[in-house]
Amino acid sequence: MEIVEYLQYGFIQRALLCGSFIALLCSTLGVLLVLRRFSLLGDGLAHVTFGSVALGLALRVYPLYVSLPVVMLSSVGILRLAQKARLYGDAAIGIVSSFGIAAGVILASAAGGFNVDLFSYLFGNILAIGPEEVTLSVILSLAVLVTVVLFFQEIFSVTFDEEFARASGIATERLNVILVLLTAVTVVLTMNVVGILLVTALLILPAVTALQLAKGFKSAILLSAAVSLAAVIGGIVVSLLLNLPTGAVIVMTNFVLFLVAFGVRACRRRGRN
Amino acid sequence: MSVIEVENLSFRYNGIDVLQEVSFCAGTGDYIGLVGPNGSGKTTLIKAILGIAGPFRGRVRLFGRELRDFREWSKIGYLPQSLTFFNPYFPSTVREIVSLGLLSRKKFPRVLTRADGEAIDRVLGLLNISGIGNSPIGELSGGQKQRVLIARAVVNDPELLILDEPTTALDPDARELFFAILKRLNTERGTVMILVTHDIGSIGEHANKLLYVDRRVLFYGGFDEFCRSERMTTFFGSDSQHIICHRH
Repeated sequence: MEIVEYLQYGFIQRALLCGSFIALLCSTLGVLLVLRRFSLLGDGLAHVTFGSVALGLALRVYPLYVSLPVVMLSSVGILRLAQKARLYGDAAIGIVSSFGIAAGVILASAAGGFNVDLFSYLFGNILAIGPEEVTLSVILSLAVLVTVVLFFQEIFSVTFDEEFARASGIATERLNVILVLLTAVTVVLTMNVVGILLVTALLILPAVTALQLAKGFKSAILLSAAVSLAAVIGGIVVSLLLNLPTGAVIVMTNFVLFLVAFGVRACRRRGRN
Repeated sequence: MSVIEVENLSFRYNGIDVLQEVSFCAGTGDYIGLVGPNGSGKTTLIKAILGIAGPFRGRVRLFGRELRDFREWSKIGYLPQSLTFFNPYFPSTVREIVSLGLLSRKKFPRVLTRADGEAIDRVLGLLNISGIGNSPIGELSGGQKQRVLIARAVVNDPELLILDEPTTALDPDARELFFAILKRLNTERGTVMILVTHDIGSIGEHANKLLYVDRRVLFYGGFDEFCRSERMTTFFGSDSQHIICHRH
């Protein structure tokens, strides 16, 4: 089948639309998380998402409705643990994520063992997204992106030098909470696209690819968005043509783009020396 | 006019008294050299004044307002002791970094204007770094980075400038230029300066007041008073007193 024919199918259109918004979302937040050395926050929250999906399935409630509040609360919990319990951020993430995964396993076991539904959330299936999920993803993505645009300068200031930002009268604590909450929403939305196990890839890979080449903060975010969009759209197309799992192909496309950017940077450096 | 009023400020961290009953006042035209041994609480004191370190006991007033009610952050320029925090891979140009110094004068949503761009041009020129405005910060030398952070601190034309060991990474020429800029701000605009330094040998050359802190205030006043004080001679020994006073 030709790619043009594929594009006529509603499920493909939904996948491209939803994937594009989530790509923009992940790439923008990813740059902030990577630069603040909080890249594994997405991974930790993904583990919590696993637990909350299991809880949703056990309660027979649509998992997204359980995951969203649980993961948002956990994200603030990680932030507070890192601030109040004299822990490094990675240790705080480790505590909450291991709790999340353990809770998920116990709940899945109590509910009669792992089932197909839980596995579908682990690996995701962007091609199976329904119209309601697309609408929710677009609305939440727009809300997150508008927040980032409105607070762009504050976010830049806090990301570069939190102490200076505080001395400029910027409410850094509030911004930190906003950042982790946005990450929580993003992780929950992304589980449908690439699955819980591969969420981190969408957050980290476009960001680190952009950081190989970008000279400025704004250009890093724009480049990260472009890389992420290319990887999601390219990944969906390639997976259709080669009949491969879409989420995994999106991640592999991101990885290839990272290698290209890494190579370009190495060539630039060699050229300068 | 009193720009800073600190009254009986005490701060404990991990069960240790970092600052004990610190009190001092600074007004227009003051140029204070804040000195003291390592771990004496100098940086904590300025962080407490800026509301970064806390909670503390005592009282801090800025421009006549209690710290908790103070909102006019655009009146303050700050250079943290932070060259080491620099992430060499942080994607940011010099202009982007300097623009952060202008955010305190903006209200939500904080958008930079053409006038802000002109202010950035002016301060880059003042510090002789116009040529690197679009360079990534990670590619600069330590001295250049420090000049960029100084530019960020003064771009806002602050009325109070707090600088924590600002000259550490600067070569002698850059240091001279930097002190000349501070002098101009202090004498022409009356900008109040608090300069934290370990360079006690040259502080008397620049500042007009000395604040010697070792968890508590050991001395606060003019250099003439410090240098003539027999109590200070007894306290510090004549050699130390001479080091501080010989270039005043």
